[in-house]
Amino acid sequence: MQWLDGFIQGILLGGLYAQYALGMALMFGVMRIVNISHGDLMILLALIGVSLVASLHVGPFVLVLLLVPIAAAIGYVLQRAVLNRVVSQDPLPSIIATFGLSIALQNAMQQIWSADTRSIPGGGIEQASWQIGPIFIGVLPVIVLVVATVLTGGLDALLRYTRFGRALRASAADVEAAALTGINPKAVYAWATAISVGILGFAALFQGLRSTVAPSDGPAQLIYAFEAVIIGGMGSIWGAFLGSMVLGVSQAIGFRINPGFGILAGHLVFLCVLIVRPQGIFGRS
Amino acid sequence: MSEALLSTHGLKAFYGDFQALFGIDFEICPGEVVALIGANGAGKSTFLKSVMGALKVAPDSVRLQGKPCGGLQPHQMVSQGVAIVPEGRRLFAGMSVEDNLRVAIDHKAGGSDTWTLDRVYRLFPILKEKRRDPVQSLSGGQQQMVSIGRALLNEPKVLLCDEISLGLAPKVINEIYEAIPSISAAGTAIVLVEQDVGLAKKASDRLYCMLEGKVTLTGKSAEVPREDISAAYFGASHAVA
Repeated sequence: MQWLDGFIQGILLGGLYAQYALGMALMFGVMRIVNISHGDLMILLALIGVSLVASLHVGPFVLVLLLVPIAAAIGYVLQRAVLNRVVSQDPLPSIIATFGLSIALQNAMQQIWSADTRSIPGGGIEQASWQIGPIFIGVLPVIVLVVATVLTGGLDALLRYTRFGRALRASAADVEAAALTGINPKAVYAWATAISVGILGFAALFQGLRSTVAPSDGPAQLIYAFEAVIIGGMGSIWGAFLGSMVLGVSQAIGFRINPGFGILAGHLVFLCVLIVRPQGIFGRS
Repeated sequence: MSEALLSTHGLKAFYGDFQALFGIDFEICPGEVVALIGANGAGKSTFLKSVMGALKVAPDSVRLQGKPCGGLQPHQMVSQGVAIVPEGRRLFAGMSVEDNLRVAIDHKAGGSDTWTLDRVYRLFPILKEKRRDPVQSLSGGQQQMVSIGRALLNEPKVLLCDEISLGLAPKVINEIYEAIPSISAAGTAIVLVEQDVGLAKKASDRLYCMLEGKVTLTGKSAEVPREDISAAYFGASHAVA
């Protein structure tokens, strides 16, 4: 029974990782940008959330309505002001730019919020759970999983069926040809990053609710997003979702084996995927 | 002759320090088919890229209906009414035939509704049959049809075609060239970049021959003698300009 419990908790944990991984998969899939500052942006949003709750005394549901537009705006400006200048066939300039941004963000956050760990108060929702037989299922993790599934499905539908989605896919396939067909790649890129970071608005809320955040936490979260995206197949939306589940389950089962083994178990499964199927589950070789 | 739709005036283009075009004067009128011929490296594709804004050029060196538009971005040129069938087709791999075409409809130039999906399917009936298939599964000729259809759905006043016969079987080339008259009949001006001189001469009203970044010959396609073309093409009498 503890393995079933581990599996269920892992799927629920995967819901959070999926919210980190979706935006990363989108940015990589469309622009070949590996955003090293992805985790730091999530932490930044969580800290903004902490400050918003402290000053406006809003609950988590109102907070998410504030946080997601703020996140999308940050993403849009980030792409327009910085990333559009470094995006090219060569992935290195954007890696260096986002790496630099990551360090700058961490230091700026320490300056503003200090190194203390903080969390977002959820008014009891973070402790609520349902009991099904011997297994406890947290209300918050279920909400996180549902939101992650809706976000993944919504993003997939956006890409498949909308004008903007077609422009995104066309730019991902051949950006020069896309421009020659009338698409403004820089505008498409800006909206793609707005969506990517916008999704981090949800992730930031849930991370702040379920545990604590501190300015230097970003890189650890980045690794989970990275691993989920690579397990699923770089650039694939449902791949990122599935990769997040694999990572979440691996960690949760690992924790059941030995409380010190959980994180490592995730890394080991990631390494195994790299050896057996380096292009990822949904990746094209 | 009516007023030029698209014209270039002393158009110069560079790849870094290397100059590829040395002052090209070119013009095309509505409904006209103009061929641009020349050997490899003559600057034909560079010319099209410069017109499309994929290379930086002086604002006044490209004019659309008399209005300077050199130096605009490619997507701005499309919205002004210039579309291109790029060399090598450059379709959006992983997307269906219809989605490839829809991208162009999504970003078509304003003020014109000449081309619809149905009309493109009537021009190339095989595409209707294959509309749900991923483009990369199509044959070379069919892919070229998608590429032409995509450019047409941008609703261009001027359609630039970069080596649309390249790498295709003669039968397929004929099939594609048969579509040219019905495209220009709709009032669209067509610039055909071709290496096959016979094909270009037959399909066009006028032609320009390029050599080493300069125009070496221009005239009515039906009237230009073969010998003049080969001289202009290979540079026998234009060795030093």
